[in-house]
Amino acid sequence: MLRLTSVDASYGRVRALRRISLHVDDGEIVTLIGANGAGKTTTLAVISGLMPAASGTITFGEQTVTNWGPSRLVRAGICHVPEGRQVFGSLSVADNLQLGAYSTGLSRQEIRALMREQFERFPRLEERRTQLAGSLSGGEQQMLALARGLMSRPKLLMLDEPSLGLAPIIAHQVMAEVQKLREEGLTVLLVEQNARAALRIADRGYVIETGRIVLEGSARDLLDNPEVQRAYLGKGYREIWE
Amino acid sequence: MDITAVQVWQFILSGLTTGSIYALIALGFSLVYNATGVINFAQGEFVMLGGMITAASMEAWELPLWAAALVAIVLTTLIGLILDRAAIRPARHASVVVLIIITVGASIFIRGVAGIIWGPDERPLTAFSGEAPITIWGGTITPQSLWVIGTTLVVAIAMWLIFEYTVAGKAMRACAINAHAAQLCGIELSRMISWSFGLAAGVGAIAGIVLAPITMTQYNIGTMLGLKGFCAAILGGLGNGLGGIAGGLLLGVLEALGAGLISSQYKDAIAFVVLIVVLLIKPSGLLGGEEAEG
Repeated sequence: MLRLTSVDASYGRVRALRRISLHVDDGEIVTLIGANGAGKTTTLAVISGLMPAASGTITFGEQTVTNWGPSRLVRAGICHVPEGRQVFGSLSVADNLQLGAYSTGLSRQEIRALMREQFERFPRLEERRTQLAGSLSGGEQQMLALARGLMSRPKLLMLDEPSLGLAPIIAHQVMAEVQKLREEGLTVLLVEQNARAALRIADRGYVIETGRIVLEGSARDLLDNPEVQRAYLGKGYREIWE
Repeated sequence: MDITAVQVWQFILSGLTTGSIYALIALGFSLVYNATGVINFAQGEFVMLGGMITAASMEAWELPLWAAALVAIVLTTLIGLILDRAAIRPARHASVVVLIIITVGASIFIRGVAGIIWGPDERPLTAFSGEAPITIWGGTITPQSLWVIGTTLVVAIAMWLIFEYTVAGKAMRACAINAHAAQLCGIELSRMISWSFGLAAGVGAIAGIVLAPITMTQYNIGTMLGLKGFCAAILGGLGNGLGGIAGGLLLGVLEALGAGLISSQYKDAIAFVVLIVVLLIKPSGLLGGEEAEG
């Protein structure tokens, strides 16, 4: 469904991505793990058109979408739920959802039906539909950000650190929701610092370090990989110290 | 000098009139600021264009006032859109300071062209509904002042409806809150910026049209009006629509009281003294909140 081939990107003179190649197949959950500043968020930004790719190609379905604008990519079916939720704090929950469907060109009625779907998925949001998004708790904001993204009726959902800053139980719910979405037919590209949680629900994973993909494989293999365990799963310290 | 309550009331009434104009100009500043983070120093020129185009098209084509006003609003809105397309958009990756300087340049350019087309003469515009003053609680007010205040009220309500109830209005707010997330919703930033320039220009033109019968209009009135509107916007909190209106009215009343009670020589100075005080004490403006941050 999505394929990046040798994609480079830079912030000014600083190369942020070096020849990134990855692919996500239909119906997969693929996770991108790596440390802070490794280039995970940048990768998503390049895919969703927020940042230009300096070279390389990105294809989505049958189309080459390299350096399309964000709104065109949203219409094509790529949805990027950004890091830190980024809900529109001084707009109501319902307004946030409505704007999620901004690019769909759906009628008022269809948007309302789509909103119903989100409320069924996240009943908390319905309770708070007239509240300002900024007044929601972190977990509720994450649900709103996810629901807002789903309002664009995406084929590919890209989630950037959806469990960041959430209580473990809430983070767990978010991950369960991601799995449910995949069962409903969505394809998911998941960026997480919590590598263990991400690998548990993913089919495959990529490990990114300083802008390069250094490792790829099935989620199972990555979970068992000693390098990954040491660097991202916090295992192995005991062996070192003992 | 004896000051009576009636006199003070009279100052307040005339202050509310000029204050309404400042409020409309402040609204224009906030519209563009919210969309771009840029202070558009050509805002005053939109006001000038509103009055001048109305006067000129009544003169040249003998249009009735309403038609001339419509022409002025449409043309000024177009000029606002052109300003965005021709000067702002090509430089959109430049820093905010560069963009602000571009607007200063655009302002000088528009004023220059207006001077060439219409010459240096002041142009009168007849009052919309006669000159017979109306007495309110002992103070008098001209019908044109009521037009000014009423128009400001109508524009403010219209803006509120747009930003509260239309998808386009909400999308513009979303861009102001978080441009990044708005883009990920598929909202096109450049289009929202265009709309904000168009709206700001239209509102400016409306201010210029209702003001013209009171002060006469001239190719160079935009500078001072723009600066006053800017003071009003800062006073109320840049980017805060309601704050801008409150700031405009407050500034108008302060000016009128200062001119009446102290000396009319200091009328213009008062706005800038207020500006400096606000910037020193509460730079986010009296009603400034998180949305008004730079």
